[in-house]
Amino acid sequence: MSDTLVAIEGANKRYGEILAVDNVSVSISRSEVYSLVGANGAGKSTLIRMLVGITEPDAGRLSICGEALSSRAPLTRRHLGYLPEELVLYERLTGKEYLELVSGLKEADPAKIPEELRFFELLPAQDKLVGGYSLGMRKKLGLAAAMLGSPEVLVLDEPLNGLDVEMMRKLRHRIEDERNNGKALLVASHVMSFVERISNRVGIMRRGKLVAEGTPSELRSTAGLNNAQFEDVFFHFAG
Amino acid sequence: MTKSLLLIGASVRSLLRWARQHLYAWLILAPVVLGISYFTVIRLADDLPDWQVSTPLALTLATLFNLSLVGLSLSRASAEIYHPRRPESYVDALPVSASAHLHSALATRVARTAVVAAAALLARAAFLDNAVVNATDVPPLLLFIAVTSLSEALGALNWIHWGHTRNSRAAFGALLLLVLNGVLGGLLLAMVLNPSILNSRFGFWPWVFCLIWILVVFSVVRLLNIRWRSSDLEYARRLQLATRSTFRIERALERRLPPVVAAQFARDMRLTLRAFSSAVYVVFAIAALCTVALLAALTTDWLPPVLQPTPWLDATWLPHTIAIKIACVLALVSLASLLPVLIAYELPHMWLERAAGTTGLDLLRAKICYARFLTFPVPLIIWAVGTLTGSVQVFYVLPLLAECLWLWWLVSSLMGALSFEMPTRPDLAIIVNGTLGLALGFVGAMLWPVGLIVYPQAMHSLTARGRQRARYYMITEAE
Repeated sequence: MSDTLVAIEGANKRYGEILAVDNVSVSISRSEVYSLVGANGAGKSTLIRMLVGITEPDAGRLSICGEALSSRAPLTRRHLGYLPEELVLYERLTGKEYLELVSGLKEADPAKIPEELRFFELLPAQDKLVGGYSLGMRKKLGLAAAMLGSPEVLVLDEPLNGLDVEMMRKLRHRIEDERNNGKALLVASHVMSFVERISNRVGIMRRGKLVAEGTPSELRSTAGLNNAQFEDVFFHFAG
Repeated sequence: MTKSLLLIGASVRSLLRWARQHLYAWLILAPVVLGISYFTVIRLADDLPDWQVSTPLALTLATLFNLSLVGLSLSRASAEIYHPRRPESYVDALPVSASAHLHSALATRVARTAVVAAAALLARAAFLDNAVVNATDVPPLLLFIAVTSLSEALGALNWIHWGHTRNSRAAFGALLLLVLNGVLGGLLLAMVLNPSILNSRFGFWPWVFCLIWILVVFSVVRLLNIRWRSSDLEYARRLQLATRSTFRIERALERRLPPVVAAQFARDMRLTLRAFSSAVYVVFAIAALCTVALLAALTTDWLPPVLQPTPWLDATWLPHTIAIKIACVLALVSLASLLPVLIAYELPHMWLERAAGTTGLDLLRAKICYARFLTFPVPLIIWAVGTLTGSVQVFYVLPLLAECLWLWWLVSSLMGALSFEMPTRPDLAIIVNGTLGLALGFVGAMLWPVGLIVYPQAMHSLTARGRQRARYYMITEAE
C-alpha cells in the first residue's frame, strides 16, 4: 500500500470574485502530522472542507488512501476522522448518545465510546444534554467523535479552541500517538508553539495560495530566523 | 437505510426532549388555542350560507393550495435536505450516502404534510359535516402526503440548484413535474375533502397509476439528489449565511434611532425572531387567542345587539366597539409581557452595555422602542378583524383605528417604561406589569380622554424611575 494517505493536487475553489483556494497541492504520508497555518480567510478551512467532501472543488484532484474523493466520497470518508472548526451539535442529545449516533453512522465499534469519553474526560458528563456543555466540553466531544472508528486520516480544524492547558497537553500526546500508529494527520491551528511541536511539516497559506511548505526547521532556515519564535517565521511568509 | 434511521432517530429523540421541556406549551396552551380556534371556525361555518363548489373549481383550488404548500416549504425543505448550521451538517463528513440525507429529510416532510392532511380532515368535519373517517379516505390521504412531500423535496432541490447554476433545462423539467404533481396532489386533496367528487369514478387502475407516478417522482428526486448534492451543498450553506446576515428592520431603524438604542433594539428583535425562550411562542399564542375570541364574539350573538342609528359620540361605548378595544388591550399586554422575560435573559450579558458606556436612559429607551414595535401589529389586526366582520358602523371605522392606536401607544409605552422594575423576577414582573397595563388599557378603552391626562404625568415619572433602575441593574448585573 502507498505511503501517501492524503493527496491534493491543484485544488481550486472560487466564491464569486474571491479565489478561496488557488491551485494548492499537498500530500500527507502515513505517520505524518501536517499543519496548515494562515490568517483568517487564508483558505485553510475551505481546503479542509474540500478534503472531507463537504465542499466540491472547482478543479483539482483529491484522494484519501488512494481513493479519489469525487467518485466514491461516502466510502472514502470511512478512512476519515474530522473535527470541524464550528461544530453544531444536537443540543438535546446527551454526549454519549451523540457519540453512539456518530459511531453508528461511521459503522465503528461502539465499545470504543467509553474509552474516548474517558480519554477526553467526559465520563461524568456523558448523560448530560449537550446543550449544557461548555465550549471546551463541546470541543472534546467533537474530538472524541473524530477519533471514533480509528480512522487512518485525522483532519482537525482548530482543535485547541476552548481546551484547557491539561487537555491541550493530552491532545498533543494523543496526536503523537496516532502518528506513531501510522496515521496521517492534517491540523489547522493558530497556536504556533503547538504547530511547531507536533508537526512533521507545515504549510503556510496566504490568500488561498500555499506560500511555503516544509519542516519547521526548514522554514526557519529559509526565513533566516533560526533563533526566533515560530510565530515570527509564520509572519515572515504570511505577513 | 440503517443510517437514515439513525438520523431520524436522533431527530425524534431531540424532538421528544423538546416536547418534555415545553409541556405547558403543547399540553395546555396549544390545545386551548387550537380548540377555541376550531370551535370558532365550526361556528362560523355553521353561520355561512351553503356554498356549492363545482368539481372543476374544487380541483383548481385544491391544486393551487397544493402548489402553494410546495412554495411555502421551499426554504424549510432545503434546510432539511442540506441542513446548513444544523447538527446534521457534521454528517456530511461521515461515510453517509446522499440518499440517507434525503430519506431523513423526506421523513420530516412526510410528518409535516401529515399535519396538513389532519387539518384537511378537520376542515372537512367543520365545513362539510363529514367527521367520520372511512377506510376509503385512507388511500387518497396517504397518497396526498406522499405526493406533496415529494413535491416539496423536488422543489427544494431545484430551487437550490437553480440558485447557482441557472440551468434552465433542469428548471423547466422540474417545473413541469411540479405542476403535474401539484395537479395530482390537488386531486387527492379534493378527494379527501369531498369523497363524493371522484371516488365513485376512481377504480383500481388510477390508484395503481398514482403509485407508479409516486415511484417515478421518488426516483427522479433521488437521482437529482445524488447528482447535485455535492455541488449544491456549499451554495445552500452560503445562502443560509447570507439570509441570516440581512436584517432590514435594523437598517431602517438605525436611520431613525440613536445608534446605541438602535443596536440594542436590533439585538432584541433578533432574539425574539429566533425565539430566545418558549415564552415567545406563548405570548404570540395568547395574542392570537385574543384575536380568535374577538372574532367569535363579533360573529355570534354573545354581545348585545346594536340599536341603529347610534349617535356619533356614543359609538365608542357600543358593546362591539368596547369588545374590540378590550381584545386590543389583552393582546397588547400579552405581547408586551415578553419584556421582563427578555430582560431576565439579557441580564447576565449586560456587562456589554456597561463596557460600552451605555446609559440607563439608553437601555430604557431601547426597551420602550422594542415594546412599541413588537406590539404595533396588534391594533391594526384587531381593528381589521373588527371592521371586516361588519361590527363597526362606517362612520366610526377611522375613529376606532385611532382609538386602537392610542391604546397601543399607552399600553406599550407603560409596559416598556416598567420593564426594569423587577428584572430578576420575570414571573412576578409579568403579573405586576401586566395588571398595570390592563388597568391603564381598560381605562383608556372606556374613557380614552383619561389617557391623555394620565400619559404625560405617568411617563415622565416612570421614565425617570426606569432609567435609574436600568442603570442599577446594568452596574450590579443583578447581583
